[in-house]
Amino acid sequence: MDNQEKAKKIEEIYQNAQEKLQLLAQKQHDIIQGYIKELEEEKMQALRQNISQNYQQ
Amino acid sequence: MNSKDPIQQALEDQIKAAQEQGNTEELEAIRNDAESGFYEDVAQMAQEAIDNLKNQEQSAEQEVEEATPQVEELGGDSAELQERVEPVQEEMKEVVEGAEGEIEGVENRGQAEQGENLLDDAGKLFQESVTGNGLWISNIDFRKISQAKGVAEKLDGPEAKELIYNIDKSLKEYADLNKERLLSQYKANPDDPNKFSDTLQKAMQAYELLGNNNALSEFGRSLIPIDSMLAEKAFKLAGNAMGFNEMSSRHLREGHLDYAFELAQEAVSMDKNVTGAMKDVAQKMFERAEEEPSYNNYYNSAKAFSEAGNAQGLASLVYSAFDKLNSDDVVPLDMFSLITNSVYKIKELGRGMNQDVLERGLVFAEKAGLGEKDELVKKFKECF
Repeated sequence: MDNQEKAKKIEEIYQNAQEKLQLLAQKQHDIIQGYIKELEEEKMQALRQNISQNYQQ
Repeated sequence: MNSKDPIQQALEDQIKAAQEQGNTEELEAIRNDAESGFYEDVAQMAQEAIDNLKNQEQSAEQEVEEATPQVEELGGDSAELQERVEPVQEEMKEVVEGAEGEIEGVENRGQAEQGENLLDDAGKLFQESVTGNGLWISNIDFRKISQAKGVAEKLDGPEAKELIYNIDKSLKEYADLNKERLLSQYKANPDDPNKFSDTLQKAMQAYELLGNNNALSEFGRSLIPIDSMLAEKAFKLAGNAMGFNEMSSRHLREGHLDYAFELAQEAVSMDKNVTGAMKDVAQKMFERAEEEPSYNNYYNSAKAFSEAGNAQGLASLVYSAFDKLNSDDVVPLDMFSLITNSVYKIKELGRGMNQDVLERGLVFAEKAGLGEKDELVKKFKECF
């Protein structure tokens, strides 16, 4: 394996790993944002319920 | 159209010139330089790739840390957040570790191939270095064979070992062949070293490069009657104290007392237990000191008895020295110093001296102009 072949192989491994990491980073981002959205919805739901109860009284 | 890099062109010209001149050392140096530069570049590239991937992994971890306050503010749990992202982070870790392993694998594969190339070259160098006629090796290029062995010794693996084995086998065969020739040439012309000096040098070089202590020692023994200096060199290289001992005994038998003493000293310095020749040398030296009394002869005799660890011999020497009290052959002060040192050594060897030695020693000290307060006299008295 000569200089160029080695460089090419390392580049290939690097690109492949980088693509996988980008996909996983996006997946993690979606999970975090999904959790935040869940929490916000729960909070909104609680607020709605609170307002509704106050209105009935 | 391919235009060549000027650096590459210069390197190719340099290689061509070295090839035309048959300069293998230069070729080796060029290749080593090129390879070390090449490996530095690849290693740097590999390290940068690994670092970048690790940075990406860390950025992802950081995103979780940064989101935690927002999650807590919304009434969420940071542990819950961590639990949700954990499988993804595990997967990222595996990707980075896997890539790191693969990149290092590429590097190692390159190094292994470099080793194979060097081994091939060493093998070729070995083939070039040996010229033979049928089963016998007729000549060896020591420079080339030494280079080939040097390269092979730096490499690992069964092929490198096999090459070293083959090189050593050829060296041994060549060395033994020249030894046989040397012995027959010496037999035919014992008084004309020029007739066999070339064979002698070839054999010596081959045994030296072979580095086999037993073969070197055996060769050293064959050299004792032919060339003492080379015999000494062979024993020295082989770390063989017994060889020096044997040589010393032989020269003592031939009446070369001082040279036998030198050789016996070498034997003792290499191995303090090899004192056989020194014991005989010491006895002969003592006899010479009695026959030809002089400080030097007594001094050498005392040294030889000391190195042989012979307390009895030293005691005889002390009594003999006392008898020289009124002799013109020795200087009393020198002799008293020698007596003191000998008595001190006897004490070190765990033996005592009679009271008459103390009395006779003090008489000698007085003759030497020394008194109770002199350090030498104090040292002498401390031995009793």
